[in-house]
Parts: sequence; structure tokens; C-alpha cells
Amino acid sequence: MAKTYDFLFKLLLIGDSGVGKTCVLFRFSEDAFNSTFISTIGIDFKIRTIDLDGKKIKLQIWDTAGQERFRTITTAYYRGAMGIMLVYDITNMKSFENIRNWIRNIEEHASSDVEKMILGNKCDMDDRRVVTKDKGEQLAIEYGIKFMETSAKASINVEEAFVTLARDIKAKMDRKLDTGGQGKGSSPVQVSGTTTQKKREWKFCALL
Amino acid sequence: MAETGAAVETENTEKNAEENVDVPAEKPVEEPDADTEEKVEKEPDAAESKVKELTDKEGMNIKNLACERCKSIVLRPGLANATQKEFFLPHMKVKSANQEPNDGETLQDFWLVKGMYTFENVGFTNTVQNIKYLICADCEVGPIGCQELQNKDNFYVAVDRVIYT
Ligand SMILES: Nc1nc2c(ncn2[C@@H]2O[C@H](COP(=O)(O)OP(=O)(O)OP(=O)(O)O)[C@@H](O)[C@H]2O)c(=O)[nH]1
Ligand SMILES: [Mg+2]
Ligand SMILES: [Zn+2]
Repeated sequence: MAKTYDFLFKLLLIGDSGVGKTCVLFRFSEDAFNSTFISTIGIDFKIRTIDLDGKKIKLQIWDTAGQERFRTITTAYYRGAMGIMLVYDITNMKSFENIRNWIRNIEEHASSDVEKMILGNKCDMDDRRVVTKDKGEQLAIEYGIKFMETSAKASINVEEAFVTLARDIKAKMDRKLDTGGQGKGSSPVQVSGTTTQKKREWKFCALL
Repeated sequence: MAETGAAVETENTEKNAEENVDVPAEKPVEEPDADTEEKVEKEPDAAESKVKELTDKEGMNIKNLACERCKSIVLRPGLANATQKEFFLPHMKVKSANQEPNDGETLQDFWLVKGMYTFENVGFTNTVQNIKYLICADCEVGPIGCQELQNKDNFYVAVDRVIYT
């Protein structure tokens, strides 16, 4: 059978417990239109198809199980992952400080060219914010990776974040495919300053 | 299964064993050969003529399979084979106030999809009693189908649980 895609990217979400990884991925709406069956057994992962520069990209996105800590996550967990979302909670300083530990863990156990991105989630809770946006940006710049503030609850930047990560993985692959890997060089780090809000109901090219 | 998947799935399987959700097992019937035309000739009824309208000569879907609730595209044309097989699937909608989460129905008409990456957009539930169910990736309505127990590369989407666009 013909291949139905040009690229397959496996993405992982990691971060402290409670930062909202599962909510970023799944909605678990329980209403008259959806039985309790799905929310009872839970969702494992999703496959999404997006279009980037005329290429069909299949994204397979995994949540990491509840109580995982960076000490317990090792090589097996990261195997095959091409992109990792590092998630912290803007209302929880500890979760932000632990991003460094998560990055160290990735450096130890994941493939060295895995693409990373930092997400400051729960940005709808500005009144309870303890991590400024500036701090998040600074940390991302320090590691040379991208950053966005998101809200799973208000559907802010969630889809954009995944598309951004996918785009960066593709750009990296395109550079590798370039003979000798020369010419384009590595793309400059862009820290997203814009915040767009989208309803999750938007189906077209919707990611999550 | 993907390598990353293997690692993650182990975790989830353990987790689900604890939850112990009671899901009736799959009941395979006779061989789900792609050859639906023969069956149509034998016993033509409403369901089978619906399937016939949706398939080409090879028994492949001629339209998109989409979510009946949000229209999200689950599968592109030409990628699934109309197949007869028996699976029990829990209801998608709450039909009555006292409905148990596991209440459902046994269905016979399915689209056989080979390989998880063949799907355009789809979600997979955690594994319960060795079965993964399929849901809409956008609105998470489901189950719209399931994975085959014996061959994990085979996925079945219920003909009556998706729309055609
Ligand atoms: N206000 C607000 N609450 C959120 C947001 N995202 C998640 N939450 C809440 O945060 C809590 C934890 O969310 P989860 O998605 O379960 O967190 P997790 O990172 O998956 O946690 P573990 O599975 O334990 O690792 C839940 O009560 C969510 O409702 C958000 O964007 N805004
Ligand atoms: Mg979680
Ligand atoms: Zn849907």
C-alpha cells in the first residue's frame, strides 16, 4: 500500500506531575454526546496529520504516565522520540526549576539531536502566576530552544506549539538532507512573543 | 508498534490492569476476507447495500471516513477494506441515564485499516483486556472502532460509527 505520509514524527510530553501534560493532549469532554467509556479507560496517544510546505507530516504524540519523575525516565522512554515538549506550570515554581533537571535527563538518555521546546502551561491563571514570562523566555534562550506560554484550559497556543515543534524537526531534517549540511546553517532561535487564541473546535489542520 | 510506543504502552497496560475495566472480548467470526461482493449477492440487505455504495470494485472506501460529530477526517479514500467481522463496541452516546459505561452493541460491518499510520487523524485509548479502541482525534468521541486482538496491525472502524465525506 502506498505510504500515506512523507514524514513521521514522534513527540513526547514531559514535565512534573500536575503541570497539565495530559490536558494539553486530551480534552476528556464528558457530555451527552460522549459516553463515560472513553474517559474511564483513558487515551493513550493520538495520530495527527498536518501539512508543512506541501509535505504530509504524521505526528504521533505521547503523554508520559502520571507519576514519572526524571530519575525514573530512562533511555527506553525516549527511544524513537524526535521532539520533546518540556512542560512546566506558571503557577508552580518548582515545576519551572525542574525543567533544568528534565533537560539534563534528556541529554543523558535521549538521542542527542532530539528537538526540544519549553511550554509554560496554565497561562490562563495569571492571578496565580509565580513564573514570569520573561523567566521562561530566558531559560529557553539559555538552552537555545523555543518557548511558548500555553493554556490547555483556554486552548491558547496548544496547536501552535505542536506545529512549531514539528516545523523545527522538519527544518532540522531538511538541513541534514542538504548535502554536507551546509548552506542554510542552523536557524536562529525565535522566541514566540505572540499569543493566539483558538477554539479547539477548529478542525482545519487542528492539532489537538 | 513504534519503539516509543512499546515503552509507554507497558506502563499503561499495568495501569489499566489495576483499573480493571470490564470490556467484553472480541468475537471473531468467519474469515473477514475483503471480498464483500460475494456476500452482497448471497444476502442483500440494507447494511450491505450501504457498504457497497461506499466501496469500489476492490472493496476499498471511495470516500473519506469522518467523525459524525465534528467531521474531522479519520481516513482518506482508498485506504480501508470493507470487511465483515464481529466486535462488541461500547455505545458512543449516553442513551439513558442509568447506562453503564460498558453498555454497547455487537457490530458486523467494519473498515479494515492496516497499520496505525494509515489513519489521517485518530486517537487510541489505553489498552483494556488487550484491546485498544479508536476515537476521534479532535472531539474524542468514540469508540468508533478497535484494534484486532490477534493482529495488532489491523484496525477496524465501524461502518455505522463514522460519516462519509
Ligand atoms: N487553569 C488551568 N488548569 C490546568 C491547565 N492544564 C491543566 N490544568 C489542571 O491541572 C491539573 C493537572 O493536569 P494534568 O493534565 O492531569 O497534569 P499532568 O501533567 O498530566 O500530571 P501527571 O499525569 O500527574 O504527570 C488538572 O486539575 C487540570 O485541570 C490549564 O491550562 N489551565
Ligand atoms: Mg498526566
Ligand atoms: Zn470528532
